[in-house]
Amino acid sequence: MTERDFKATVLPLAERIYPMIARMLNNHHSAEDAVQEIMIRMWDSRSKLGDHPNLTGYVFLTARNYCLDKVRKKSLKLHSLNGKTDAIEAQKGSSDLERDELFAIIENLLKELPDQQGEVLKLRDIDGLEYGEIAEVMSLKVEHVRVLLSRARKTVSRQLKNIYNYE
Amino acid sequence: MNKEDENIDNELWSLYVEGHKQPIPPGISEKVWAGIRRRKQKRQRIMIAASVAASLALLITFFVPANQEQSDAEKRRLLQEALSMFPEEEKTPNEVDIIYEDDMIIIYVGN
Repeated sequence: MTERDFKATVLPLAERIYPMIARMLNNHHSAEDAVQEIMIRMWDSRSKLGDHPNLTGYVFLTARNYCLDKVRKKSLKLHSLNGKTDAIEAQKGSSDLERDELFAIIENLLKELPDQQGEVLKLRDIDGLEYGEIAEVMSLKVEHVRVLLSRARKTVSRQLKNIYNYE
Repeated sequence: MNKEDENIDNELWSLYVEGHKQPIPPGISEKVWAGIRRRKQKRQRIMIAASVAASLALLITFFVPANQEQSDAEKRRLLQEALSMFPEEEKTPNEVDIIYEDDMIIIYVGN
């Protein structure tokens, strides 16, 4: 892969992997460093990237493995769902307590989901990955991803309706 | 959240998703590329320095021993030249009385 190809195909993925990395590491500075490190790894191995059948998926997979490794090493919590983003913190007002309560409820619902369902749901809805990319990241078939996502969404939707219809 | 999918039919979920989307820092691709370029340049500098060091080592290997050999040869030539300035009989007297002798000096009287 030439420098021009790298800049056209791999470099733009820096923006796409950032949300997932920031969510997993729960730290924007660490996330920027991680993106840099992952892209340097891609650059160093660019001679092998040209023929990859799912380059985007491979970059996401590398990024996810990098984050999992970092999380294991630093004993950080895998998910940032207990934390609030800077934007949310900045917007704290009268309705914040209600929102905090809602987020806590949803976080608990996500924790109760089977691991794969929860991860697929977050990768799809929060990080914005395509089905093929999720399949590559999680070493699953696309059909399996669809099934997991459907089940996760149904469960969360049902639970939310149950909780809020009773109130 | 993707609209074409079978989404969770709940505004609460949408609120949660929007609240947890991570904003992408502006210009991250440019920063990443600048980092890659810096690394590339650093590697090039290291390669150049290593090449220069290797070239110097090679030059020293080839030339310094050669100079030493020439120097020894030159010394031998000068010694032979100096020795040739003395007549043959002066170098080795036929009959000598050794007065004193050790590892460094021989003092003798000859005819």
